[in-house]
Amino acid sequence: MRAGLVWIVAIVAGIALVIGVTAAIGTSDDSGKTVTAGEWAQTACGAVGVWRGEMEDIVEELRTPSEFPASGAEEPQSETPQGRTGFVRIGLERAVRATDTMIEGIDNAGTPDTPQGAEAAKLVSDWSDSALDELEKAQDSLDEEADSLEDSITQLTDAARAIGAALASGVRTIAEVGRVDPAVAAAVQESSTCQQLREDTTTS
Amino acid sequence: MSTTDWILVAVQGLVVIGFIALGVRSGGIGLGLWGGVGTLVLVFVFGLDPGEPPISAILIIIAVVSAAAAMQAAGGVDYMVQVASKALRARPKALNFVAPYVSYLLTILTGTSNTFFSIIPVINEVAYANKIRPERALAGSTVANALGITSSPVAAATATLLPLVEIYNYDLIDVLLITIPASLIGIFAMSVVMSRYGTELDADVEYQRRLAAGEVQPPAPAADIVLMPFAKRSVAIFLAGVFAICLFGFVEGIRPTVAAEGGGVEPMSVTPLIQMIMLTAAAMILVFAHVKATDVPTTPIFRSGMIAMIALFGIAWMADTFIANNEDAIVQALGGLAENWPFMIAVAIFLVAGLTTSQSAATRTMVPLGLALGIGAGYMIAMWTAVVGVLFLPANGTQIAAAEADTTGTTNLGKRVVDHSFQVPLQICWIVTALAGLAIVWLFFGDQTPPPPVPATP
Repeated sequence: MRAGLVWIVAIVAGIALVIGVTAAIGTSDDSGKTVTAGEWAQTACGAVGVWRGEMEDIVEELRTPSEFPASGAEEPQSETPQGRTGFVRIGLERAVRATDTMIEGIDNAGTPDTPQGAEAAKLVSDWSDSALDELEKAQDSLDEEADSLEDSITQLTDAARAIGAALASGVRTIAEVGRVDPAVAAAVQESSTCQQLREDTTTS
Repeated sequence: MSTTDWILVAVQGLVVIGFIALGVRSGGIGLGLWGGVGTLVLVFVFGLDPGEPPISAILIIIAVVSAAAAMQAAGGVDYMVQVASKALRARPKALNFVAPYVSYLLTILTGTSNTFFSIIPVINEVAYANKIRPERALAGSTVANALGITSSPVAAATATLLPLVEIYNYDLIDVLLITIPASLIGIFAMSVVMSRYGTELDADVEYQRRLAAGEVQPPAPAADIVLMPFAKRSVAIFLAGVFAICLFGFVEGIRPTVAAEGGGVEPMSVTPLIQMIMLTAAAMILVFAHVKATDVPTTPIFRSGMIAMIALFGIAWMADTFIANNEDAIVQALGGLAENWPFMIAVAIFLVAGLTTSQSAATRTMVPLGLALGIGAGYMIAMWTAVVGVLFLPANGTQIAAAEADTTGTTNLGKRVVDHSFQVPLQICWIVTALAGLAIVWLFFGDQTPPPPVPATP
């Protein structure tokens, strides 16, 4: 009994230490604040880049479902890359969740302290909101009963197309930011996350 | 989700926990049977869609247990115990350190926890023969094995993580440079604690009861073991099988290819390879170690393996039925926790992994959230190791198989669901690994992302 209590206290203390260290590391929540264009570009491109990484994973799952569908699901803790079971609905649900997270990241980026900074930030924010709307709409459309097999296939292809459209419009939006504000454009040009994002989009 | 929905999810969760508790109290195949009842209640009473039973894991247990039981019938386990006992003669307790690191290495090489099934009986037998409380080595090895996923370049969870952190200039090598040293430290700390954990076998009440009841034989000194003629041969075949699995797991290029859905070919999954290789190893042992096929099912390893299989069938099916229907709610709740209190992100990763029993699900939901909250990518990689939390509830195959393999009864699945043998090593391991990882990032990586540029004056 006493040994059990000692363990509980030790574990709680350990978890508290992890929480304390994480709190000390801190976060960079700049939502509602004005930041330098460089900081804004770094955070915003980072959020879009992470989202893009998630979308890549989703598309890969949609493209290559399990090679052994007959063997049933793998036990989750032992799952392997080949064991995935990708479906359009699951992909869309994940895309909606990923976009929701990206919006959080873009909000946290704040507003660049440049003449057109607010407009540039709004452009990216509006895009992420509309991407979420489109994906949610596509997800809702799958809930509606199709009248025919043809309609059903159209629903599926439209849903898959929504993921592709969100991906393409995101890259376009980052490029458009440069046209709105040259100072932000310079920061986007220099930022390492934006550079990485550009590399990813040009190589894919 | 409405309040009613949340209440419903909570009630379903309590049903799952209740049936796990009932199963644990029954013991043996009771765990699987009560899991089946739980699945029935979730489907008929709550109207949930039935989840997927863990077919792959069950097939792997069948294949691995066949090979290990054939080896035992040939006297190979006795030989391994003798060799290990000689090697550990000076320091028998070193098993509590060696076994977890071997288990961890197996996962790194194959990218899956399933290979661990093959060494569970060996760890148990070696521990018992050396009068070491088997729980110490078995529980520690099970946790180390699960932790290996975050150190494996071929694991699904690692593949999920990489696209998320690449934007911050962290590639596979960077990830492994953080997770491997951190895990080695975490496993060491866990092993130190586990080597002193619990009473010695002589003082263990449950073991003494089993001994008195004749349910378990006293450990035979390694020197007294009389080896059967083909024992060494059976061990060589078994180890060759394990080695082949590791080789195929690590070097994707030598695996047979199968048609990819999107066109072209891709390497075959390691899961069916484990099944094929272990069944082949079992057959080879029958032929070359002259074991009668009828002797294999009479071995203790076969018996405990079959019990583990049934237990896993029911429990994992029930857990998957609950998780598949409620994953969104679980992620939403814990994601909300991290959004409101970003310093809770590591705990949230641990709990998502525990409640969804999926390292990949925890990775793809929690890591992007942490990054969006502005936590540095390196620090997120360090905290990602908390996905070892998949062992939080005693519903995983490796936990069930380890508990069933331990005939002394020291390795158990707990009486109150969370008080199982794996909980203390799990908590020590994830906490120390996460802290060590954070320290490694702070010391050696710093803010790997270059500082934001200063824009040119227009």
